[in-house]
Amino acid sequence: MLFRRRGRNLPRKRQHHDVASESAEPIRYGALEHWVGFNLRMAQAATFAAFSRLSKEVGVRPGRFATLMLIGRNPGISQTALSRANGRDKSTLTPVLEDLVQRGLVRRKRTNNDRRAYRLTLTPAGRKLLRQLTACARRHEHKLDRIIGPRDRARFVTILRRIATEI
Amino acid sequence: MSSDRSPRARRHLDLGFLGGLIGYSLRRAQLAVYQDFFRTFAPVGIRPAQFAVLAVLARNPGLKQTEIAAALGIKRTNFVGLVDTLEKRGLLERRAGQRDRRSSAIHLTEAGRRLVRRLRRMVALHERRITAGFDTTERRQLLAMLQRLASTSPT
Repeated sequence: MLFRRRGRNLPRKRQHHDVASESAEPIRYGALEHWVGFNLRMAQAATFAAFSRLSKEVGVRPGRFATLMLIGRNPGISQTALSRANGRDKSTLTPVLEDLVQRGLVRRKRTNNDRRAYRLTLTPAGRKLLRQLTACARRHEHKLDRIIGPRDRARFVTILRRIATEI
Repeated sequence: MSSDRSPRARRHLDLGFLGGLIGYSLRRAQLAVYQDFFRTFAPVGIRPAQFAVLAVLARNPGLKQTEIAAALGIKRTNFVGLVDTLEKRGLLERRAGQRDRRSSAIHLTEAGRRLVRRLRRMVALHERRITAGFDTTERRQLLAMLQRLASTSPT
């Protein structure tokens, strides 16, 4: 089976091109087509783009959802624990937290015993935004559910989790 | 750090409903795979997106920039810089198009083709690490589901 990006991208690309490329052959992906890594990236990019449309409606970048959810569910979580839970290194997480603090969504408190460590909690505005984002995520997930199908869902998530934890 | 990794520390963390989400699981898996890919290719100084471009060009000599960018889902603004870098390293060359730079056809150089062959061997090892413990059926099912998701429309 030839792996090809279907859906919205293809017709748009066609429209964009003019007569010169009408005869263009479909792209051959070669070995990429069979590599899990590449397919994972394409699947993630497509679904992430879909979710970012929804999250933009509530005025926030898609990546903030997981961060807010983890802080919301684990009030007082440290930055170290958060970066580990989210699979991101600290240097990526720091600017994200700066932004969330500046927007009044997250509160950072120094701990008594270690002046460099912070405890993170959501502000009321952060909790409100998390509720909105959760609604977005449910809508998004519902759509992905339809694509994957209820029968394969659990197995798919298990496989993905295995990749994330065992690699 | 080691105490943070204890099972107790893990148990205390509540993922909310994130853990069961397809979207979030995809992101986590992709992040882990990306990091492994990044480590694998660091010695040759090639990033995942650069590899994908080289691999596609190896199979489709003479593609236009816009075609490669669309096929790989890379934003055009990022793409120009990416191609510039690879061109400076002597891995590919643009052959002038009629109108502007964007319409020029891109070809791998001999050095580019050599590198792709070498990268393919490295990727095979990386792939084996990702799917270690999966049988052929699981691997096939995983690919099929990912491909279905890749055609998600962003609406």
